Amino acid sequence: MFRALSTASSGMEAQQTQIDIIANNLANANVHGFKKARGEFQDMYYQQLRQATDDGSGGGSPIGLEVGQGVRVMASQKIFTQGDAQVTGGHYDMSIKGQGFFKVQLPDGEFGYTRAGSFAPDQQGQLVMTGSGNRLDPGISIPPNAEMVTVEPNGIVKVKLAGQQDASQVGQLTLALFQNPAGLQSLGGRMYGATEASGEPLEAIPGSEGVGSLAQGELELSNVKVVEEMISLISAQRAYEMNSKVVQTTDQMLRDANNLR
Amino acid sequence: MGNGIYRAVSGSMAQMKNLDVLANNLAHVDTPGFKADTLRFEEALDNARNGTKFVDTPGTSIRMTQGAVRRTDNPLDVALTGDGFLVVDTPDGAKLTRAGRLMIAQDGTLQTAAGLPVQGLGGGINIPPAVDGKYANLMIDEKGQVMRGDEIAGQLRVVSARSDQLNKAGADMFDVVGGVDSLEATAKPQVMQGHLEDANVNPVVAMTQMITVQRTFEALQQAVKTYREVDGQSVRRMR
Repeated sequence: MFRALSTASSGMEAQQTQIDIIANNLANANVHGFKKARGEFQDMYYQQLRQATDDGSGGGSPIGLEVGQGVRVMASQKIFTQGDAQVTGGHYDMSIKGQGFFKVQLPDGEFGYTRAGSFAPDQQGQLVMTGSGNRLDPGISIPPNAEMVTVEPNGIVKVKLAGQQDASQVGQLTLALFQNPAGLQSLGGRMYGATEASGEPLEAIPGSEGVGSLAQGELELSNVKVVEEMISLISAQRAYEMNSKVVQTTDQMLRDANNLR
Repeated sequence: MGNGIYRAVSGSMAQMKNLDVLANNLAHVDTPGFKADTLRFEEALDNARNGTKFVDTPGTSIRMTQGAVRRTDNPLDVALTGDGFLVVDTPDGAKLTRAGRLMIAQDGTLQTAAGLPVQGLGGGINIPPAVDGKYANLMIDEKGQVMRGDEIAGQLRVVSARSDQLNKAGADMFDVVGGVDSLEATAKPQVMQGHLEDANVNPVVAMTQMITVQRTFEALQQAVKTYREVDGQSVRRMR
């Protein structure tokens, strides 16, 4: 009977984690480039009380007796579906139409990857992420007297200087493609880090080799569907309630057993 | 009168101790850096000759799981995620803690909220004063490096220890068996400024454990009652 208590408490703990995941999705529903996470549940080790056997002559019990020990949240999978596009008209705002990530340099020298394409030139004219100031890699340098900046869907950045007739190319943006994007580690700040599970990134020109093309003047909204999250929240709450009922019932049954005499 | 009743009583006493441990865990559910205890149950030989055994509770073991990390936005709060402890100088020697509530003393030394100096890699950490106030431009990075603007004031000493090397010294500090200097520096410390680590006590789990304690205690009381009645009956029948 005590097994039921720990099984039910594992159920309640798992639903608590699920609510934590849902809460984070909802809190970040308006963050550009945010990708929602989903909790993956898994049943735990089963205790074999009696093995299924067949002694060949029609005897033995074909169905064994095994009792599970509860549930656990094994993983929180990031769902990389495309978010809706928000037209901003900003020269340095870009969204990726399809797969791939912008590569940025982190302060400690490592690289981070992001879908949030809102950039701005820093004091030296280098394009950096707004907010964290992490430099875009490969670096794009915008001259101070630039009148107009265009980013083509294939990543070529052209700048038209004041007084000039035509725009000239100042750089080529590339995107990083991962074998297993779900294996990326969330670093916060709208960035992801590569891990052993995600694999090393493949650098590709936007619009080629499976990588999405760029759209200037747009930002990718988060892929969180508020209605979906609310339904998951209700379902998690009910599951939590049902598990707490199991705890209460077990407690009552134990009390009945103790009151037999 | 057999000594079976003592076995039942030893079980009851063990459950009462268990309840004390659980209640203490629950009392510290809001203490930053607190690590829950689990009571250790062991079989102990009462009489080596006839092999009767009872339950012994030699002590508690510390559960070293990560507590939830809560954002406080206070530049002098730090939380450690993953391995590692901060080292703190007390009158009784160096101790470890996960409770990262820090403050700057009058003379600029970095101390815990209780007034104990925090150890840095080269001794204490002294924060240079700032014109705009104590908290201006105070940064503590992931590796524990403490900076006032561009000036490096020092680096927090973060060491790793296993739960069997630790004994509790108060609600948020640990003594190290063998001394703090026998411990190795944590390979990849993760210090988060502006956050605090909550106690690793899960109230749901604690409640179900308390139900188990209560029902087990009840069942053992029934056993004690039964022993008494059996003894009482045998005494009455003999006359």
